[in-house]
Amino acid sequence: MGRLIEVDDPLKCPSRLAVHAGDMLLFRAAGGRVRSGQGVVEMLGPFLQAILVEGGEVLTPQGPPNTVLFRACRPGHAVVDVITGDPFYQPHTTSCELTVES
Amino acid sequence: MIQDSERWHDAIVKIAEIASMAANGGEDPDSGPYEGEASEEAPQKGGIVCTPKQLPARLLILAAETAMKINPVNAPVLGPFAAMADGFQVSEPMRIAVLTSKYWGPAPRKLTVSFMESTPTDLKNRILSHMNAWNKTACISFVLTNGTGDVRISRRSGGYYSYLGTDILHIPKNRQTMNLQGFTMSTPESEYKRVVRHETGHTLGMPHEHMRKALVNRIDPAKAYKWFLQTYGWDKATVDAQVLASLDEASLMSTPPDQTSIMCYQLPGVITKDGKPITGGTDINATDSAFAGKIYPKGPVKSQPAAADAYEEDWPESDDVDVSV
Ligand SMILES: [Zn+2]
Repeated sequence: MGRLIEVDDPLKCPSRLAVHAGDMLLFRAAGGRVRSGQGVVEMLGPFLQAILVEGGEVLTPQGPPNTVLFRACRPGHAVVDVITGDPFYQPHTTSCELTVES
Repeated sequence: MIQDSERWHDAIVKIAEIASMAANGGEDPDSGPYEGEASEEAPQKGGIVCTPKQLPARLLILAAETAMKINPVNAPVLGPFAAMADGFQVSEPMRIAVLTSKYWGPAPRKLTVSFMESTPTDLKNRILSHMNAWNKTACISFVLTNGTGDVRISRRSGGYYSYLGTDILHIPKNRQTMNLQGFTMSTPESEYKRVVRHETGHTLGMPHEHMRKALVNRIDPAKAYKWFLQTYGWDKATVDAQVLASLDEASLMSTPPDQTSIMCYQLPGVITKDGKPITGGTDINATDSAFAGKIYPKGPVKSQPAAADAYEEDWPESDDVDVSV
């Protein structure tokens, strides 16, 4: 069974992390990229969290994206960058080396 | 041209009359004050001086459509603002925008504020003082509550954002309406001015100024797609949504764009056609302040229910007045 692993604060994410193929990593972040290991890990997004309210309307806040997903596709190694903070003013990049196990 | 101008003026008057009638419970507009105006002669029930109302949504749409038919350029000043046509200068140079559908209305209003996480009192007060920087000219103020606020602030991860204007009333009470990630008493004062005041502008209904057509037109799409992909991993759709989609000017109450507005992001010269950055705003500037005072005027008006509630007292559609032109 794949897991949805939430990394609420990317700044506190360990620099190395082991996950399983099929897992999904969710970062609260404005952007991201797969620096190495394309195919081992793929990025989905970025997304801006929105909310479904009564009446069926989806309300979207004013702001930059705040969620990035990485899917562990197959065993191997990958390095991902996660960008936090304000993307329009002094953002911060955190890198994480992922080991994807079967 | 003169004929167009006259027709436009006539339509404004018609729309204002209808709005005014709505505000006065069907009375002739000449016989009483416009919406929200206090009047010594106004009938009082249970201490409530006036019962301001807004046009039902269907009439706001009709009003906007009518205005658009006559003069699309002036459409932005209508919508809910028809009800305060006496207070509006169409040609006055104002530089930030308010989405008319998210507007709180022209009467004084206190929005309560609470925090999602345990927050020290000094930090609460500091954030609140910056939110109330808009209150120097605008009639909306922010007050702390120990209960669940209209504005609910979280300082957890998720970056900086706020829902727009009256949308905040629809957000579930267990969710924040504004996010100020990581704000503490150690955060520099400049960030309070740049971020807290910006997000509060959204709460007042103001969208991003850099999404005004004139500023979007300065951006080279190819450069923007490339730079944002390389820098943040943003796909085209994200770049479109964040920096290339211009706001529908017909939905705005606005005039010329202003790159130093607090509502404008900083954008690097590397993505603009002329290589010059869009400087962005670092604090509420004089024009922001004047604009806020214009759309949320301080004056002798009584508080009114939230804009969303103001639609409750509707009348049968058959009683609508035809203002088609
Ligand atoms: Zn914003």
